[in-house]
Amino acid sequence: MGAQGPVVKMEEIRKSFGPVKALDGASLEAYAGQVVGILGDNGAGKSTMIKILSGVYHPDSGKIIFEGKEVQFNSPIDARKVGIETIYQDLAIVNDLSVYHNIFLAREKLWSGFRLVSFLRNARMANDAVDLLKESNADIQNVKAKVGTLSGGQRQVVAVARSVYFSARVLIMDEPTASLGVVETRRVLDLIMNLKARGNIAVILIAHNIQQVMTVADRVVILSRGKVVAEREVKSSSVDEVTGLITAASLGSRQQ
Amino acid sequence: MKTGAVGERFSVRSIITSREGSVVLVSIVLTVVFTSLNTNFLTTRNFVTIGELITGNAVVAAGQVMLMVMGDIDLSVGAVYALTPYLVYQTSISGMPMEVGIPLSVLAAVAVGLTNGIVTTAFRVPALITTLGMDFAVTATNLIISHDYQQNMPYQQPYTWIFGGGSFYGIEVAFIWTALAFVILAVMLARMRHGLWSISTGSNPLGAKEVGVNVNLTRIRNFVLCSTIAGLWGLFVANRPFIFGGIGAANPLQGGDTLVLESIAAAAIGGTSLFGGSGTVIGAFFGSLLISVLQDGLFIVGANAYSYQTLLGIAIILSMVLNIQSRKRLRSGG
Repeated sequence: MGAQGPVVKMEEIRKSFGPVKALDGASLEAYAGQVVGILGDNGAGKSTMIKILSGVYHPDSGKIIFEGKEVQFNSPIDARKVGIETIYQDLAIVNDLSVYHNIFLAREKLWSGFRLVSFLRNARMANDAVDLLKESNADIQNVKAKVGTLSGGQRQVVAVARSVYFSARVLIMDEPTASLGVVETRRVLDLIMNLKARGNIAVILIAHNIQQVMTVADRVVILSRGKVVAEREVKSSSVDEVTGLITAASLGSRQQ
Repeated sequence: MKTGAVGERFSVRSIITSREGSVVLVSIVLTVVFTSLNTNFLTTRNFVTIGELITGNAVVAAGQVMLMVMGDIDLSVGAVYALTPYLVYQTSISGMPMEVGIPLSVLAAVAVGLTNGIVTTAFRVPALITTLGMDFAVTATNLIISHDYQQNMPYQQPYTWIFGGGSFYGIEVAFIWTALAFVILAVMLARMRHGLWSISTGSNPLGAKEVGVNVNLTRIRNFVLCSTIAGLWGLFVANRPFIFGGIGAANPLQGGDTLVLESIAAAAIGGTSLFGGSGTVIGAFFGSLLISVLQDGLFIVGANAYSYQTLLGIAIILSMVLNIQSRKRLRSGG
């Protein structure tokens, strides 16, 4: 792994929901400028893993170490404050607002001097949004268009742009291509490659499609029944091997 | 101009096809029709009457817009509208000066809004139910404390003048408050963070919460805002002097269900969606204008009183059809 340590590290995370052990001592490391893919069958614990990292759930035991220091998140806002941004499947995007208002939602640029009444600096936000989208090679012509009029891939771009703008150090993407067509999927994968090329963001990618994950990821982590059962460098592995590992883990767990 | 679409270019076509533009157009057509039926329609005196009708309920409709963009609604505005004048009267006969009685009465309206907001957000009761219950409770309170009798409003300057009893160069003071309130509310919805948060709360509450919008606070604020507006404008109308068609009295039946339904109708006709996510304050003004022109015009031409309600009903349904169609277009990206 690179010269530097991981941006974020999850150590021996355990989390139960009643009698169900969702995570049973799972660990994960994410490095800047790299994409790590989390793979596994349904119910393997992928969602729980990222929900703990993004502050939605609190782990029963285990540590989260961010840039060398142990951190505790009581809410997604805590996680976002240190720079862990999550793009959920539902995108947390507001269809009835414009592209630039979505990018700046809850972190609006306001006119200073009016503390009690928060007037929006719309022109400033719109200009910044244009620059930002240009930077991420997005084909969004009009930042004043309502997000509801955009395609699924363009909405994904808006969500990513928002995270990047607010200097995410870790970007978690949960099934970013789940509802997209072929061309749109290609665009989102390109977007992830762009993020990787920036070199300062660690991307954690969750997807069902092994082929897609292997295209963009540097490393894959395979979860089964709340445990990491295998970890592979993409360079020295293959889709077949990874598929085999997931299937074996899944079958093994069913026999028990 | 729709909220959020800041800085769109204006053209004659865009004005006519915009929701607000089409409502104004219908109002103009109605004016022409009513004038051709009775020349008294196009007189200064009659425009004052239409102004009085708008002053009575347009701001309440704008308050309703603030709630409707979040997918909420307030059915208790009609009851609060009658409550505040009665409280001013009651505090006055119990010996309090108006400078105490008026703030106390307005505070009661604030408290109603706060209760609506807290019950709706903390217990996840639909606003329709919370405010329906509140409507019954406050209406009954009004009838109990008034014994169903109308009472003359206390008269004490400058308070009577400020709170709707005065005129300024021949213009009703309450009309000036109305104009001012529209500017403030329009800026609030389209140019302030509160407006952005309100729309995002109505459009995608979970998503808005995920990115850090304080959804509950935003909702409570708007409930308080809407109820306070109803309380203030109820007071303005009770204090209204004779020259502006007022009777200077607190009436337990002031406002009521008619105000509730007309405020929602004005908001809906003005293009505000009942499902949240879209709406404009100026739309509520034009919706209220349309309703007022319709009501006044039918009265002047001597139409059956129920024909107004028939036409209003048709207008509401028609505007909802238009709303849903335009939202479908937005969703399909056309």
